[in-house]
Amino acid sequence: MDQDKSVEDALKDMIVERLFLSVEPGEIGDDDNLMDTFEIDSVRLLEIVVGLEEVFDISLEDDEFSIERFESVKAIADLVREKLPE
Amino acid sequence: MEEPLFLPADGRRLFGVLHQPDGESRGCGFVFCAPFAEEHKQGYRVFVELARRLTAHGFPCVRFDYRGTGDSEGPFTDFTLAGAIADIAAASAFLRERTGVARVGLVGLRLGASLAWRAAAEGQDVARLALWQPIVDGKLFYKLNIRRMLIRQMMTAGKAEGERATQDKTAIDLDGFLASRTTCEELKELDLRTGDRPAAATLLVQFAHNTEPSGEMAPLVDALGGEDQFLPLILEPFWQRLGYVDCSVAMDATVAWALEREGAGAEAPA
Repeated sequence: MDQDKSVEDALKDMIVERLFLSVEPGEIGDDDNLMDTFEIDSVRLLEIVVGLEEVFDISLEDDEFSIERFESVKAIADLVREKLPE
Repeated sequence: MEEPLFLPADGRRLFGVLHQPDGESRGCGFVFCAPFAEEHKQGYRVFVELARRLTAHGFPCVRFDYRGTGDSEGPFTDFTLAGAIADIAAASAFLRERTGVARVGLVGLRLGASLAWRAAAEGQDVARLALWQPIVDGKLFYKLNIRRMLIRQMMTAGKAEGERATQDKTAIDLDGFLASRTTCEELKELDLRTGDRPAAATLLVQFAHNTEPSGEMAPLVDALGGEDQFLPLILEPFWQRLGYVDCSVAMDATVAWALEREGAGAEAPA
C-alpha cells in the first residue's frame, strides 16, 4: 500500500482495479453504499476481501463477516484500521 | 461432431463430451480439466466454447466431469484430487483410443490447471499444457472457498455463521459443495511451487487487472522454460463473476498457441 494515501483512497483504487469498474476511484464516495451504487454482489465482494488481505496484509476472522462492515468504503476502511498494527 | 458419452475410469463411469473435427484431425488432441465447485459452474460455458474452437481447427477434444462431480457417477464426496488426476489419465487414454491422436495436451482452468500440472509432473504422457490461472497455493484456495461461503451467508443473513460440516463431520460445506475431509486436506497440501515441474510445452495464462505476474503466479513464471509461454491478460476472472465476460482473447490465444506448437497455420486440416 502507498504510505502517502489514506486507507480510503487505497481502497477505492483497489476496488476499481480489481472489479474492473468503469469509474474513477475519486468518484466513489466514502459513504456510498457499494452494493446499491456499484452492484457489488457476493462474488465481487469476495474479490474485495481477497484484495483487502493482499493489499493491506491483514487477515479477516470469520466473525468479522457482517454486512455493515462491507457496505461502504468508510466501513471497510474502519475494519482495515482495526486490523492494521498501531 | 459432438458426442455425449460415458468414459470408463477405475470402474466408474465419467460423463463426457467428445468433440471431433468434421474434417481430418491433427495428431494432437486435448483433454479439458475442469475447475472445482462454484468455479466449475461459472467457467462451464467458456470451456464448451474453447473446445469447439480447438475442434474447428482440427484438434479433437474431450470434456468430462471428474468422479463425483457433474453427471459422473458418485456423490460429490467421492471427489478427491488424487482421483481427479486418475480421471485425467482415463480421459487421455479414452481420447487416444477413440480418435487415434498420437499426442494429448491438457487444458485446465483454476484447480483443473493445477491438476493438469500435477498429472504431467507425475509422469502422465502429456505433450502440451494450457493452464488458465492455476491454483498455485492450495491453502489460499481452500481459504478462498471458505470466504466465498461466509460472504454468501453474510449477504443472505447479514452475518456469517461460520464453517459448516455435515452431521457426521465427514465433509465440509464449501458453499453448497460437500467436500470430504480428504479433499480438504489435499487442497491445503497442494503447492505447485514444490516438486517437479512438467516437461510438457506449457502456455500459462494469467487473468488480472495488470500484466505483472501476480504474487501467486510468479513462481510458475520463473519455472517456465524456453519452449513455454506466459500470457498475461488484462481480463476479469470470469470464473468469479455472475455476469458475462468476453474471453475471446484468451480462447484465440490458446488456439493460436496449439497451432503454433503443431507447426501449423490457422486453417483446419483438409
